[in-house]
Amino acid sequence: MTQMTAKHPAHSDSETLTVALDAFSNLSADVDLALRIAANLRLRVRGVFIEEPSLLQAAALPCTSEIMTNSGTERDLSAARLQQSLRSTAQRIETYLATHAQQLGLAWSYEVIQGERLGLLQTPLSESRLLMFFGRVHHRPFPRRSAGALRDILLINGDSARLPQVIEALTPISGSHRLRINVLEKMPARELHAVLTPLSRLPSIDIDATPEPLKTHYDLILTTAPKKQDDWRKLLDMARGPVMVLP
Amino acid sequence: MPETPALPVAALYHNVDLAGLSFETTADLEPLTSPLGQERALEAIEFGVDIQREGFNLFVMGPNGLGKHRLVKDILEQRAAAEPAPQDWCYINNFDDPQRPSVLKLPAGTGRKLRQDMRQFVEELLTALPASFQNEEYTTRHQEIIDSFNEAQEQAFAQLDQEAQAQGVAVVRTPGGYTLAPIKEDKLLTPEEFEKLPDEEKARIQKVIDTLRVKLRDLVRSLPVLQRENARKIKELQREVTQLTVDQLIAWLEDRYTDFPDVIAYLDRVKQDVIENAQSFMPADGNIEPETAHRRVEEYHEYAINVLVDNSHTQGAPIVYENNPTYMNLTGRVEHIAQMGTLLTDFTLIKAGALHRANGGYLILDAHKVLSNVYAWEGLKRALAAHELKIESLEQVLSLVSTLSLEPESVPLNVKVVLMGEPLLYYLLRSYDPEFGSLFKVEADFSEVAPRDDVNLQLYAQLIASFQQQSQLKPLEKAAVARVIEHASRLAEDGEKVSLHLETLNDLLREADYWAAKQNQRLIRTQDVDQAIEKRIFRSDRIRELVHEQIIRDIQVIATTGEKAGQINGLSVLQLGNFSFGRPSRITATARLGNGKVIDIEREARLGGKIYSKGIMIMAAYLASRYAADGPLPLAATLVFEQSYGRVDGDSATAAELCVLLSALANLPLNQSLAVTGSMNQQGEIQAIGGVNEKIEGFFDICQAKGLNGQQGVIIPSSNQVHLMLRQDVRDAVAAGQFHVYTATVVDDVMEQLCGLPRGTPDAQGRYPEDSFNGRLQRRIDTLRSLHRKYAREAHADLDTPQEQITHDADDS
Repeated sequence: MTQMTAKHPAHSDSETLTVALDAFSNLSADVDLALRIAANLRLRVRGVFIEEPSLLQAAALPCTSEIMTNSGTERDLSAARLQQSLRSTAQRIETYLATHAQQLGLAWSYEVIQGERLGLLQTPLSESRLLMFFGRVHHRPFPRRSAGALRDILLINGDSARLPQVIEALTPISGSHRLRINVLEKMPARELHAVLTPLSRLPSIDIDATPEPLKTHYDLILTTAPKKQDDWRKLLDMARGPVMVLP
Repeated sequence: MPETPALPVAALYHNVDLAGLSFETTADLEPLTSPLGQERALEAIEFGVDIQREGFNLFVMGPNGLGKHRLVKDILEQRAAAEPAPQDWCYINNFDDPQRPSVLKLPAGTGRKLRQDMRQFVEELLTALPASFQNEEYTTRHQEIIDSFNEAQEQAFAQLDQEAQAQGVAVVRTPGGYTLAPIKEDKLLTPEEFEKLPDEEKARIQKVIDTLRVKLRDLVRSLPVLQRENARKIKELQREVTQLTVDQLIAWLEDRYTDFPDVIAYLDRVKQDVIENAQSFMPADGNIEPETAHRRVEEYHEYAINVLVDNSHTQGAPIVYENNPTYMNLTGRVEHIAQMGTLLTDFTLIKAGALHRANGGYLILDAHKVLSNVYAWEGLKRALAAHELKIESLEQVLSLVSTLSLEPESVPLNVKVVLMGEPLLYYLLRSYDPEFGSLFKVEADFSEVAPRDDVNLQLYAQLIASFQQQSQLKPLEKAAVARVIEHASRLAEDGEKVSLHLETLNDLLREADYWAAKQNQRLIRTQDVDQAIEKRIFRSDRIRELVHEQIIRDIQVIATTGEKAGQINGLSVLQLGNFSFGRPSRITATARLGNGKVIDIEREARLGGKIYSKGIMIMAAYLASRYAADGPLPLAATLVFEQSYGRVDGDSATAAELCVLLSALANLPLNQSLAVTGSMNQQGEIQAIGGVNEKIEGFFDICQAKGLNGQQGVIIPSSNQVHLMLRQDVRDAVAAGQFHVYTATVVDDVMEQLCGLPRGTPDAQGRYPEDSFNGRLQRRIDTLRSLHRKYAREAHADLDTPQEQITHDADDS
């Protein structure tokens, strides 16, 4: 991956929440969520804007044109215009991040890198305390729920010491006092027990360990880094909401 | 000199016979339970209140102080207590046309209950509706719709992508939409790789892209349709959830008000509106806070109930007295709130007027105040004629503005209006307002006086006892009661009547009580009543003192002794507030040969009022008809009120004016020890005048100050004898022969008394004896006629005869 710009010096990754953003990110939903989680866990925030080369590549091809989403009209796909659009988006995200991080009193940094999202996992950035991705294809922001309603969180490979802290950090943000942890069927029972026991001590946690088929409607997916790239791809392609990767 | 007997002392004052009062003090008496002397008014009020027909509103007329308000209120309260309390009137939002709020009629007390229930309903909505949109069932179903849409979208794109990939092309998402790009082994070709492709391959790829682009475009263009359908489903879901929630919440309201179809219809409309505007109940930040729902209820005033008239505490029919009957205070108003430089309003700012509050009952108004307020009278009439109350601003009624404002639905009106006012107002309205008679068919005419007969004497004593007990005054002894009644006759200006001015009576009693307390008395005595009367007069007496001082010091010249021709003492009354007093005025006359004209100087100087002028004309007509019926009256006379510089009106000096004119004509000296008052007609009959007691006392005061000589007195019309209620000191002087009161029926009676000559009896030729004043008048007129003929002849001769003839005649003489 090429690091195009480093706007601010990177902080120590162990105290950092890294949020992966791109041209399809929702400012108020995605960045806000990351900032609030970081504030609750007292982490620094690192925003990473990923410019996927494939996009620019496609724009450079002579045979391609763009079909606009809102109107269905067609226009030439210009690499220069696309580049400009990406830069504008990157700048907008940076400004938003800077403003709201300062309001919350959070230290922050921002970088623009080129590469695939999944490639982020092979960089030192993946060693952040928390790493957040967002669904791409059909994006859904972290929804609000009323008190008493359940919030569905899918736990995949929850073997992380940080898990209880993350859950606790999520509670005030979620707007709901009840979190239902759905456990992916593939988790081994002993591991499951090790994960769930500390969680069960948390107030207002409703643990549903009944294995269930994987769905797409979870408010949040918590996981440790899958070992296989394909699993990652599937996860990110499937997810509608945020995906948090725990160390 | 002819002797006309003076009135005896007994005729100068109508005493109350103590034997006719069967009590010792007012403590022995029961209070009066029915009004005294107001039978006509009482019957009219009872009739007007009882009859339930259109237009039978009441006008209660009489001066202030007669107890009109008290009587009307007592009658209304008695009647209203037996009538049911009227309904509550409310304004509610008209969801179809908020500018025209609707009226809701409910049983007494139900309005405020409904208002409270609606508040509670909205408060529950504020918690329940957001919760229903955040519960698991809704979010699940909502998500299912979205997922279904997303899946359909994904499937379409996946299908296209699959088709594309099968031909070596991929669908790629861009920030603005989508594009198609060639791939190889799941990776996009770089531009360099693409360039290296054979032309055929490039052409094939281009063709595939072109074909797929059309499909992609069609797919993207179909998305809005899908989104619309998606939105419709979500809206339907929201509607369903809202309906369910609202139905559950409103069910208890529908149960509670099941007997009120209008309320049920309203609740149905509320339901529809809530469903259509469910989003307005969602908190902006998504946080549902039940504890703030109570405060937030105020924001949803479209579901509020404006209880315009709340009769929950009304016992019987309402009786409303509007003390400030402006147009708005009567018919209601729409208030506005200033916000950000504009004026805002809605149905919750509609305020009731007095007519609303009195609806179903009675409204008491002061006629003068209603007429004094701009458009209040018109507004009142309009409401009564239409039997409904329409709330409009005055600006709208008068078409002064055309800004948008509320047009509330009219409220049906069923009210009985009781107007109170002076008789003059009633008669003016009756004469000049064509609508008045149709709307106020019942007049209740309060009497100012009542006959002073035995029955009323007892009742009046009870009336005094009522005031004494109500105001917790000392009891009055019998003689004091008698004195009060006599004073009431004085106020009525009639010894055979008593005044019904209750306020004045009450004031007298309270003042007498005060003076009795000053003397540490247990009872109110006659002298306390006398003192109250005297002190009251003293407080108002300053101007009279000044006027009398002017006369006594001869600054204003009035003779009270001797004789003089062409001069007489007339009498007038001055009214200052609620105090009046009499004073003499010198009237003089001159008479000479002339053309028959009597010149009234007051009239010529435009100081004479119309009634005064009428009196002069009557007098002149009498003079001519009596003394010049068969021939001319070659007289030029003038009359004037000496040292009078203000306006003169009334005809009470007509008799005096005739007498002084006759005196001047015949050079007959008139007795200056006497004063004369009396109106007269063309027949020479003396007619009654007003203020007879004040006039007599006024002359008496001057004579007493200058020194009574036993000759002084006043000549009054005989028809005024019944009105005499003279002061004690005047009666004492009459009893001592120091002052006299004479009566006269015809002018000749007055002239005899004044000039000391008999009137005489005419012979067959109509000639009066020489030693009568009529005879002397006749001779004087004869002389004037001769002179007139002589000068007329001479004047005629001057015209016909040449100059030397005139000289010759002159030498001959």
